[in-house]
Amino acid sequence: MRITLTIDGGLVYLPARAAPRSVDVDTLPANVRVEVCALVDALRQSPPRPRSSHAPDARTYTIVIDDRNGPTTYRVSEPIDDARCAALVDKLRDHLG
Amino acid sequence: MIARCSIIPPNVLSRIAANGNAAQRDAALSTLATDQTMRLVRATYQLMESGAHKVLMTAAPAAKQRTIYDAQHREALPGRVVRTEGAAAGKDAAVNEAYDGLGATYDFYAAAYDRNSIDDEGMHLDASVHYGTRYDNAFWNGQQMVFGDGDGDLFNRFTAALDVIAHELTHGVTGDEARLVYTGEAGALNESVSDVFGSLVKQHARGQKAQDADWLIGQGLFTSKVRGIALRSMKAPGTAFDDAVLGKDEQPAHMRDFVHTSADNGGVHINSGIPNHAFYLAAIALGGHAWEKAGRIWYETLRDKRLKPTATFAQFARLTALNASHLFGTPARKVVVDAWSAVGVRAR
Repeated sequence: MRITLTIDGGLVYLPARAAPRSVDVDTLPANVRVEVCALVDALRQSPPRPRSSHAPDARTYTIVIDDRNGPTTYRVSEPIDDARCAALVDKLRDHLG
Repeated sequence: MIARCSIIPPNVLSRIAANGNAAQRDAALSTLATDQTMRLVRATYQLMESGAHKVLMTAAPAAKQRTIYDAQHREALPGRVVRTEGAAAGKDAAVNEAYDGLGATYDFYAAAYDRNSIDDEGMHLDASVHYGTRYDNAFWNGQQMVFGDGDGDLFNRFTAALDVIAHELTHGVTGDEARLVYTGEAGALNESVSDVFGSLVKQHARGQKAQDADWLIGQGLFTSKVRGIALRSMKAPGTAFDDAVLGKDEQPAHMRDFVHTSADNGGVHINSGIPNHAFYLAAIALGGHAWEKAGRIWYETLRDKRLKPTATFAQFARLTALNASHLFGTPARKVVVDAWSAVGVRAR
């Protein structure tokens, strides 16, 4: 499974940091891999609801999960209401830098 | 209406908040925030029953009402109340900076434009600090401001820059007035208006004239590791930073360099450099304190009923020229038209 994270917008909008970044989940440390997979499964069962409006200077996170079933895209804006989504974004950012 | 009396008077609660231990302080601050609302509701009903409100509503003085919350590194808002209006400063620098910054912004709008808070009706000013973990952003969520502490590596805490605090609050003003949609040119205008008044709040606090201001947004947010002086420069868009990790400031200063992109809601933080620079040029040419003429023209344009939420740069520019003429006569109109022309926008 491959997960791609794109961060868009924000008060400090840095185009150099806005490029999509990917991680192969199989290359993650075992404990992190287990947590990420659990979060992905939870999101698949109950996808986050998209926000109807965009708050000024809030960032938008696009998560593309690509596995044997094909790509699935989730897009959330700050503040991220869905705790699972927020946790997944944190874990991805921790790993991707 | 049944009257409810609180057993602990506010001055006692305030002393507990100042001198108690952490748990006592938490409880006192939370009660004060709730009590203020309850007292206000009770007082309002009493006044309305007596009919006195009819006089008071026209004579009530404007006053700021600030509440600072600690989000405790979580993303649930608003968090725990840590400072209310009139409370003394504590040891938390982010809390104090947010409190002071909200106050300076309120004071600026009141003094310069006779505006009573974000909605011109005394809206409470709420801000949450310590949002998230290593959170390198700040935003206005439609009801309150939210500030991160930065990552400690490339970014300092976001309450450290007064213009950033005022920038976020001004999104509330824009939302109340012009409601500029947050995409494309209208979104870049929305961002620019926040940079304009963010800078003016800072200049007002420093007592600076236009020629003496730095015209930088977010100076102090980068750590010393970053090769850059600020997030943006209104005086010289595209020069604020050039860093190996963060990249280069991509703001254009002229329409010929307008960035066509789907990212960043159509480049609202990028193309804001063009109207930012137009404002800078107008402010320098008009001289004096920038909020008195240039700022006034921009403020009245923001409140102008002819300004559409989907306004383009040219439509906004034309209204600034009209308002400049209306407020300060033909010479000011020429200055504003020339400023827009210098960035490639037709304001006639």
